[in-house]
Amino acid sequence: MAGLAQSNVDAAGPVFGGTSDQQELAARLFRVFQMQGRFFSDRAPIRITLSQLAGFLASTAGADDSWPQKIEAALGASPEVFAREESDADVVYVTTRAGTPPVSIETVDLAHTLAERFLTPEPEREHPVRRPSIVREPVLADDVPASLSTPTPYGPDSWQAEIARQLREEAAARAEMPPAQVWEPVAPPPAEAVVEAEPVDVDIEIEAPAAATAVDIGSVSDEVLAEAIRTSLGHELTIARWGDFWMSEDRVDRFSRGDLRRIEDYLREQSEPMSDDDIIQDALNVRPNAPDYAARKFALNYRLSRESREFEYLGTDRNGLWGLASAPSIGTTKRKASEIGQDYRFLLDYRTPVDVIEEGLVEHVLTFYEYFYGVLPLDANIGSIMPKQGFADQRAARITFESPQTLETVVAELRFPTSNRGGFIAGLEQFFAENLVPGAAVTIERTDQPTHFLLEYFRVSGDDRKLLHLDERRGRYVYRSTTYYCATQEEMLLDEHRFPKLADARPLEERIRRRPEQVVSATFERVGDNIGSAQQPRYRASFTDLLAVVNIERPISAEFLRDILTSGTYREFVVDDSQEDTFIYEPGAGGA
Amino acid sequence: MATLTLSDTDLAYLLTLLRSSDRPLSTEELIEALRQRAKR
Repeated sequence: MAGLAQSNVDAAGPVFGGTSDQQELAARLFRVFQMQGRFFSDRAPIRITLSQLAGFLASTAGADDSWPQKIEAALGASPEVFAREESDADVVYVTTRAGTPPVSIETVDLAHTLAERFLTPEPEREHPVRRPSIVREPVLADDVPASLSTPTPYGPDSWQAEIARQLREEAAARAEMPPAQVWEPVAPPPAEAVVEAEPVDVDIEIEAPAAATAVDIGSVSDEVLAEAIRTSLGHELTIARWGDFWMSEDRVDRFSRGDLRRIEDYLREQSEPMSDDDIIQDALNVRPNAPDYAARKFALNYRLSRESREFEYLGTDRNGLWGLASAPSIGTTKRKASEIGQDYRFLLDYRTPVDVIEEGLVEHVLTFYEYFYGVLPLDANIGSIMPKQGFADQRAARITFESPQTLETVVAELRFPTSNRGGFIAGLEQFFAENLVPGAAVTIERTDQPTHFLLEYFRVSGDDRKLLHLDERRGRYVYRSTTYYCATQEEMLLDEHRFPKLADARPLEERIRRRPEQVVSATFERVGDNIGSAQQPRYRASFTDLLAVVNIERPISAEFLRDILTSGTYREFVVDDSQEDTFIYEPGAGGA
Repeated sequence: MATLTLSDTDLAYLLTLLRSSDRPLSTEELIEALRQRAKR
């Protein structure tokens, strides 16, 4: 039974039809087919005649004249598994190790069998006529642009030419198809009609599916057309994608187990992520001037992305970079990356840049949270200059920051957003601790290399102030004398004179930190003035104070904070009309 | 919000183009190919 154990048949096996007896008999006979074809490929046909099957059952389950009828009934009830063929002598049943009937090959090309080739004398070769410049006809001579055509180094009678002919016919057939069908939103039936037909007081809202609109090539911009191409080709299972490159899946080279092992060993030897160019040249010995270099590079990136247990893609949509999946990731050890991603979840709702930004340059003021964990938010502003993912399920990309002030280069990781976690940049903990303070103003500038950025701050003469720190040993916030040499935004600086109540305060519990509105409530109590009484407190605080202090516990952007305070969802927060940009928090008013 | 897609004939053209190409094509190249075809 070793052959069976090694087969690729799904453990659940094929599903058989008919009565329970017929299913049992079909399953039993299917095992006979598996035994018969145990060395066959998954799709190779396994043929056994009806008389052979009846003979097998007679020898194992006892002689019975009705075995042929029972077999025909059982196998006939499972047409998805067995195909029936009739020959002059007997009935033959066919299946494959995969449990499906073999794909029928309607025309068998006997002209290219080995026997035929040996028996047919080779025709006398004609001497080719040399032409001064060879302009080879593309596969689709009428349709393919000259810039994309590929040479066809094969003869007119070859199998390649036959495939090209079939492709032409297929394209012609598709071109004759009716114009694209546009999905129309399903309009709910008129209310009156519903009332007449079914006088029930329940409103059932039927959501129309997202309509798909076919773009008109002649009237849309390149950006819109690119989006339509990505959407349409992204749904094609036969098309492989890496970043912004596309290739027919069956034309993408495959790598042997030995190739993959060589790549894994190579990455282990290098002990750092390596570019696809390095891997393909050093581990696979492909020359950069090889005619199929681009295809090999695409194949490397596409095929390795399917080996997620061993390899992790850390590149972008245009630059391949690979590391081992077992390698440690970059980032703080103070908080899990998944938890930081949860903290930044609100970024998924704020995807439009709010500031007018210079092309390729983003300004950012460091918050306490970012400083402490060494992260930067992948908000709409910073996201506008960051590279894009190479694959939809890509976790992170490796990027570098160069500081002209300190002349050091920091390796960081760009964590892409997921459906329920926001994106962020991790790995800047040490750089921030050595050079900056919470409230420091930095700029991030794109360079010629898509994964390399300039991280700059304005260097000033030393300033000495008592700034907020977290004493991790005691688990309390403390003010310490700090000398810093970077320009800061005064509103975001956590100075002892401004927020004295933070001294010796404990960080909020995790369950509170997960609720932004509760963090805002706690912040009011920490920085606000109590304008109520001791029994019925009401806290008043300015927006800038709230923004600076709320970010010591969790990231909350200015837009997100303003939405919490003014959206009306949380009725405990109200606008203070007596002072500009000031808010009041009334504990208990939210009804929670 | 409507999803933007290619028409069936444009998609069929791109699929044929990709199947006949032995190298990867970028989105920009596919845009260029569609534009050229639309001009004819």
